[in-house]
Amino acid sequence: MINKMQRKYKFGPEEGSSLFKERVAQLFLCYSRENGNLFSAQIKHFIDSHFRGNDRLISCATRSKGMCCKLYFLLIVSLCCPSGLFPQSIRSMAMGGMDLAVIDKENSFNPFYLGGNPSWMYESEKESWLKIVPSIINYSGDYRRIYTPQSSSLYGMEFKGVKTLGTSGTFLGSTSYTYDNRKNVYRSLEYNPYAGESFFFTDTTNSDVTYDGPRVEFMYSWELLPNLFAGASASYSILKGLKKQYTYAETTLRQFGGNVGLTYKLMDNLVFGLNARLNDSQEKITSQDVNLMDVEIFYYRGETYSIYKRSASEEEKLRTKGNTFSSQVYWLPDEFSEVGLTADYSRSNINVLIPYSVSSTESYDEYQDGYSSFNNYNLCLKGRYELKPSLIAGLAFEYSNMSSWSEYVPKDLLLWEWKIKRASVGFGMSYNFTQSLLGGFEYRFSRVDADSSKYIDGRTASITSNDHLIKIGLEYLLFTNLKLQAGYNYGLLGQDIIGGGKNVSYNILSAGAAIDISDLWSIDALIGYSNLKPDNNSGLNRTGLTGLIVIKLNSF
Amino acid sequence: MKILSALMVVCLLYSYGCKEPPPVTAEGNSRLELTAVWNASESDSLPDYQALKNAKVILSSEYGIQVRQTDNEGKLIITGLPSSVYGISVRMQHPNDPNIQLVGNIKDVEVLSGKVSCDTIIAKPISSTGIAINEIYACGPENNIFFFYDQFIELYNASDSVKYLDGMMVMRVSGNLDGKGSGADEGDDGDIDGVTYVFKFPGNPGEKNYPFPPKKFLVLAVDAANFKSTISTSIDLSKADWEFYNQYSATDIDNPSVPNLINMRPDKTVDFLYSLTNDVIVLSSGVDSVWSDGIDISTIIDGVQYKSSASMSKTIDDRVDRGLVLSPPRYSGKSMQRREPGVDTNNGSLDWEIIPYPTPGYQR
Repeated sequence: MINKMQRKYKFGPEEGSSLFKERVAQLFLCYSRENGNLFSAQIKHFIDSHFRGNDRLISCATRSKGMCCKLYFLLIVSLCCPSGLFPQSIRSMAMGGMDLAVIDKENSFNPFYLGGNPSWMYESEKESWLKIVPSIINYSGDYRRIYTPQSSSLYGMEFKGVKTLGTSGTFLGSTSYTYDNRKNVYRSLEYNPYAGESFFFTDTTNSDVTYDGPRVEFMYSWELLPNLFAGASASYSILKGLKKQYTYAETTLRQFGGNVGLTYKLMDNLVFGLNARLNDSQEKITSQDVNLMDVEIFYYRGETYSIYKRSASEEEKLRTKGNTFSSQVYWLPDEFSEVGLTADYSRSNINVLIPYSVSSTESYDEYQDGYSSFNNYNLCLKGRYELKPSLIAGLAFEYSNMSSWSEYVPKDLLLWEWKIKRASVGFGMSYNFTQSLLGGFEYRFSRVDADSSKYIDGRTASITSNDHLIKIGLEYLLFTNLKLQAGYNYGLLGQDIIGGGKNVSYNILSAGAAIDISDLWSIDALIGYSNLKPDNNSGLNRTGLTGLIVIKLNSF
Repeated sequence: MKILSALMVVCLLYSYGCKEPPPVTAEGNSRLELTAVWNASESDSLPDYQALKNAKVILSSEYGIQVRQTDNEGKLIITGLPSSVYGISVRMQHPNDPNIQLVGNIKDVEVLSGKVSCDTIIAKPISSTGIAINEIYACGPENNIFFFYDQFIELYNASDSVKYLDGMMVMRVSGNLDGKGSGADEGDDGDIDGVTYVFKFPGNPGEKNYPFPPKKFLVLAVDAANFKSTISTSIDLSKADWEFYNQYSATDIDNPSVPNLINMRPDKTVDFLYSLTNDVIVLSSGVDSVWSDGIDISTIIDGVQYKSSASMSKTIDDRVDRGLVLSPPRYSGKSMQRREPGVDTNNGSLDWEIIPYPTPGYQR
């Protein structure tokens, strides 16, 4: 029954849907306030979590930018699901990010797609395929935080394939390369300055910064014992960054991620899953003037006070370690309905390390200047029911609780502390108006409670926000081998706890096309535009534009 | 299934058990209460402490410099300061005599989070009655060809009378690195050691051929030339008051219209150039001109040590200066200058500041 449910589609099964599409779709769905921008921020997250990998997502979760910062993960988690490593397809993303009421392989609530449990890949991926995914993503605008780039352009290329090995299991491999060109970055030298900790590393100039680097990932899943499935994945990525002015700061960001899981098929329609993910990353930033002049650097503790240092070379390291434990339940009450439940807990920490010279030996050592701890709990329940053959309804409930604190280690003093709770409910329906036309809508309501205490800065805040999101999507079968999709999102944030605006509205427009060239290969394309602005007549906004193509080979 | 259930329970226990508690004490929860007074009485036996109203208060710590002001009662209450060790200086012009500054300094005031720190600063009148090094421009202009030859030292006669420069010496003290350091009293024999360059005004101490008028600046250029023609970001020193000239150098520039300080060390054949970011500059009366065994501290008129980081160790003897001046970055075009012309409280950390551009012959 499970497989049967997975293969049920309104029309034209999206056999080509892929994991990366899910991520793209997730990006549509999720309002990531990281960049004060919806669509592009979502896309950025896609790049982070997809091209940069699962470990990056964990990293986002663990460093997830706190009260004022950290919704990056929160919203992804809460809007998409706790550990949404494998969220939507490009199809549903093109349909406005509809993931509840539109049945799609990658919208399934099974442990693999909803919970990121690699062990269920064996059951979820029954055919071999190879995908080639070039993408371009751009966002820009002045509605942003101080260290957010004025604009950013991300270019990515990924090759990803699944190979089924029969009873021996299923193998997934991917490799990708990302180029991120950030314009007009104000002073910040960190790849992700709003990771949630209270520490910032800056110099004195605005400049463009580029990051680029590869990522590889492998995943393997097999049936360990009858009805007991096991899976594991590992990923590694490395990014090189360069600031193109003054301090010529060079960044080396390496990330390692691992994910192991088990699922047990208790009954034909009931599956339990467990998985654990770990993340280990290090960002090393070295500022050294190429002209052998001094560089001026500020190590911020909080947003107000900084330590000024100057020499021919200055360096900082950010070491992040984290893990996530996740459990999933996947239940098919009957052949018309599907229920998925995930619950997970993440914890992580960031160590800020600054080298110093030991003059007597001329050697170097590091001291721990800062430490940040993060804890996240997430719960996601999603259900889908086929009311009639042409009418699908979906429901979702999600809750997340995130907390973090930062410490000045040498004096054991608490610098920052924040908590964010978010609860959301959503429902949606899709309807086949004709054999060629599918339409649907979804609505989500979220309530966010955030408390922040920036002790060193002498600022506290307690914010409650009621957020609304409406999605509308259409799909039209133009020819037997050509489908067109379109979608629209309208969202309203009562209080943007990241950007600071009130009654912040956002609009996302998307369009896509899926062409089956032959039985051997197909092409999916997506284009999207987003705009976000606060309701204060300030004229500030943030816009995003993206393009994505998926070339899929059905065998290789 | 049992295994999965057990694993789930273990994970839950782990998740709750491993949540780290935050530190108990929050940063920024401090209170500093300062009272600034000065003794207006002319008799020490009958002190008449009066509040320093609306006086400038300078707080220095690892977080940099903060400038505040006392209220009408001479009090200053600051809350939310980050925990650190602060040096505090209170300054105000004497209400009756503009030539006198009321200055009070306290060092090593430890501000701790969760605690109240109280202190009283008693300011003393500092009569600016002598010559002081007022500005040191060392780092060079903004450039990428390593140009720094537009260095100069500025003196200020803060007194009301004419002083005479005859025989005075300007020294760079960058030696003695194997001992206590540059400018330290090695051997505790009452002199500073490590003199590497000595340039001298003409004449001998006590003579009165080279007057230094009161309330005037004097620019001692390494080379008295218009460097703007070389580097557009540089300065014009062709009208400097004095020029360092090494008569033992075959290449040193000599502007004939500017009088020279000449080199006292024949073994040094380059110009009087000093480090861009770390050095000790000393002005002495010239009474003790035997540099090889150190310069008697009693003959020193002023001395300044500057370094690129406030956390670096100070080596200059406390009797010359008890502080360390923070220097600007190399090739930044910035300069170091006293906060008030000629006001020397013997603490360079508080007396000096970095200014965005050099000001030869005037105060910013």
